[in-house]
Amino acid sequence: MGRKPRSCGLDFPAAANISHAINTATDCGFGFVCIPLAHPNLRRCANDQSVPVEKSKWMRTDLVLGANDWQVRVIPRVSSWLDLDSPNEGFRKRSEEVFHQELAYAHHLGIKGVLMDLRRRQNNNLARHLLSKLSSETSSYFRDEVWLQIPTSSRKIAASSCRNDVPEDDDEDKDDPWHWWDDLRLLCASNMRLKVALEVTADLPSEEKLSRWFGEPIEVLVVPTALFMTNKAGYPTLSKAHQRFIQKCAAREMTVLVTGGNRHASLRHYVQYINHLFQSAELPPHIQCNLGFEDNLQVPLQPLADHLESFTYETFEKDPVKYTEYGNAVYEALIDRVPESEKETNTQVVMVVGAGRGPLVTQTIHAARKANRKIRVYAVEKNPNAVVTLLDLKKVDWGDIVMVVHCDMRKWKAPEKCDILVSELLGSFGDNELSPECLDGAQVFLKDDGISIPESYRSYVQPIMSMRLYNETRELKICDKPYYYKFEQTYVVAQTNSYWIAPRQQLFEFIHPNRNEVIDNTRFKKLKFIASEDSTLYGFTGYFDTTLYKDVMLSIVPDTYSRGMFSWFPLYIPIMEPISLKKGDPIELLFWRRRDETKVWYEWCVQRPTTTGIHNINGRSGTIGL
Amino acid sequence: MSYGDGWHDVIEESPASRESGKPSIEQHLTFLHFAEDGKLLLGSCNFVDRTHTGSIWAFSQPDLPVTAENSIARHLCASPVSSGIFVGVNQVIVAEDTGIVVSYQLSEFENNVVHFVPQHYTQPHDSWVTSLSLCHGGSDVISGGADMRINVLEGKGSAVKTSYYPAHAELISCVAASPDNSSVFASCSMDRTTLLWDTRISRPAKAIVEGDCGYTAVAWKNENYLAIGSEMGMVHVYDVRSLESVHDLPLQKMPVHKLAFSNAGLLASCSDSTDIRLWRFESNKMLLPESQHSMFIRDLAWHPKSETLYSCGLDGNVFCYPFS
Repeated sequence: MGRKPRSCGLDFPAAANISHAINTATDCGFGFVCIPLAHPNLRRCANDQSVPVEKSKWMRTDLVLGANDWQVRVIPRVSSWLDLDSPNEGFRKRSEEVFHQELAYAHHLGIKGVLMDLRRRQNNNLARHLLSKLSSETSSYFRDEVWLQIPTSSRKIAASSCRNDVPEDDDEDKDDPWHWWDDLRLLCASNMRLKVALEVTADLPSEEKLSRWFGEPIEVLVVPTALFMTNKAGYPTLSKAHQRFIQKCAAREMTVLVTGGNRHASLRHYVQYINHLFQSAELPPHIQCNLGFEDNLQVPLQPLADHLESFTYETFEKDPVKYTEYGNAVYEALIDRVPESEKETNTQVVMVVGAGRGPLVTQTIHAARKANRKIRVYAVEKNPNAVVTLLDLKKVDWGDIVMVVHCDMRKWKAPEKCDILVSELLGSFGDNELSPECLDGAQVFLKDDGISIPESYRSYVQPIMSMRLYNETRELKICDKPYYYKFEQTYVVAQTNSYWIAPRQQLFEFIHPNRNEVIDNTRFKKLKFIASEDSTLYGFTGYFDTTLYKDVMLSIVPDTYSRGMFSWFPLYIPIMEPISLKKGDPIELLFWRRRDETKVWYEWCVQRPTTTGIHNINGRSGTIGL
Repeated sequence: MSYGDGWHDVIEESPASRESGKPSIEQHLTFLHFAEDGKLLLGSCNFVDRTHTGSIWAFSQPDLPVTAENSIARHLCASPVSSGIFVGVNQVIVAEDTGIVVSYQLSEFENNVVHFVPQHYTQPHDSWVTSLSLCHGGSDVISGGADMRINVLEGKGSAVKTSYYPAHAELISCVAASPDNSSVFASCSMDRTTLLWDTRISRPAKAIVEGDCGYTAVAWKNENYLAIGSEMGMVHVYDVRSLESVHDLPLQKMPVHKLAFSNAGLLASCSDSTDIRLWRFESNKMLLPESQHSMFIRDLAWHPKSETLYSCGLDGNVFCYPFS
């Protein structure tokens, strides 16, 4: 199930009376109106000294609405006749002046965002003036945003179907509106206050080009009434292709703006239909678990170096999928190790290392009961606060088959060897919470034919376009650190606003128990991806999957996601500067896992099509403590 | 499209002048147009006060000062008016900035009182209409809009006959019907093309010019010559038979707003400025009449009988320029 759009608005190409426009919209279920800031036919000069002051008025007074209504009910449009990139120098300069005049007035009204049309690819001077406005001296309190309205497909190509002197053109690469946006935002240094108002056009581009927009900061989805057809009952409805696209948008928080004249019985029906589309959207499982956490960066946990807190334990113990699968894995292992004939005589020794508050111990006991096998369990935990809970559970629930051991598993001297070693030390990237180092230490008390649950895990990476995550990283408030520091961390983040530039690939794999003569958990690998569309690389997403035992798996990789599981969000691995990509470009990623006496860290680098330099050399910015 | 719970606001008698029973022409004049018999249609708006308003005015003798007292009829519209033309001696159509087109009959009632009587409403556009043009034969009307749509309206503008969308890739700044062929018209746009349309064929348009700036106004001299105004302030005269430019005239500095040919072949131009520039087709001579406007001129029209040019502007004034 999806969710409602944040709000639905109604566009007025001109509004004679703003209060009436708001009332009309509200009566039909809209939350706000979009209106031109100045009347579209009032072309003018800003600050023209020759015009007497009483004739210089260009905008109705702010008194027509209360301050709160201006802020909540109105999205103004910048005058569409402005052309800051006009070849006519006089007109260009006039446009610049009026542009600043209008943005200043919108700011005066306390309005959060203004809408502006982007009509073609050449917007260099506009970019300059936008960036100037968005990063001016007064910007410490100036939080306004500019939302650029961009069509999903080129009108130039659509308009050529009327013409007999040009071939009917469906080469969408010729004039791809995504490039209008990409050029401009790169000139504006990916400024986070620049956002997209994506106008859905009658002709939609290819699936790949459409999904590229999911990596862009879409603030508003513009839906013209001209797109709607009429069903048998007389209500508005959209084509299957438009429905599919809008339902995909429902994965994200989004505002919808309905534009164009009323073509049905009531404007209300458009709101109802759009709400219905959003709410009935079937979200993919890796998105479903995100609700409420979208695109918020978190620094990965360090359970080895720090003690987890009660709240953290409780949150993760609620996962409905993860512990069930662990239970299944223990069950299968017990059945495999103890034939039916020995079930009364063979007592399996199970060690739960990093037992926390005991969920794996409970699952192990359930599994043994279900398998009808005898077990003895050691619950090993280093966090003294969690040991309190373990001792309590032993007394109340588990009884004498459980031994609670307060010790770091890497230092513990076990009284006997175990048959099954169970642990949950995996992070979003598999090995990034140092599961390999811990289990290498603990495997000394695993019998030679013993089983480790998990038996293996793999990390995956995928190149992504996400201006949002890049900005979230850049805007982090971290004091007293060099500029590169933020870009040399990895972040745990539920990602809804990113586009996958190429399919994911496997990075590292770890297998337990590790029977190699020399145990070496450092790694180096080079991966090569191919960009599936023109796009801009803002970093990589990291995932993992794990084989607990035989075919019992857990995965946060989107195409194999363990449905319903919420214990892990993927990793965002940033790069310092975005990289422009052409369709078919190779993206070569170098990735290292390094360690020294006290810590483990990753280093990474994009080598092609351009090189970023090696990030986090020697773990100078981000490490995981041993 | 229906007209109802959409953009159409309740008409308000808001300014005090209306309450006091003394209607006045509003401060921004957007268009003027002559009927064959010399009647003048004037569109006035208010774009800056609390409520934006629009009204249309008819005058029988434009040589009198254009004031409310001298008008023969007036009508308050629901919204500011962006374009309006006579489609018959006593018939006009007027486009509002919401994309609604209303046709009116100028009807005489008792005591010689004349009223604009609304006949039909239609909403052929999703945004304001930039330009209306009556086709040869006097029945169809071409409309072009900021919504990138061109409509052929039938029955003197009362219903949509054919619609082209998107006809251009950006705002359509002007449409002009051919003076001798009811199926042919020209359109120009900020998308840097000017197109020649023949509605009898299935892909009806071909480019007269594709340049490196937007085109902002078109006007026919006769069926063979078309003047095209540009964002650069240039006016290009094209021979539509060969699609070749025969004159390139630097008439204006700012984007050309309107062009109008007189019967005698005088081309008048105005732009996003207070300047009027004239050019004589036969002699290729430029004339610079003194403009009295203090704000942008929005429309130009030649009186059908006398060789007199009229202009109106955002300063609320109508001026005339007699040429002998």
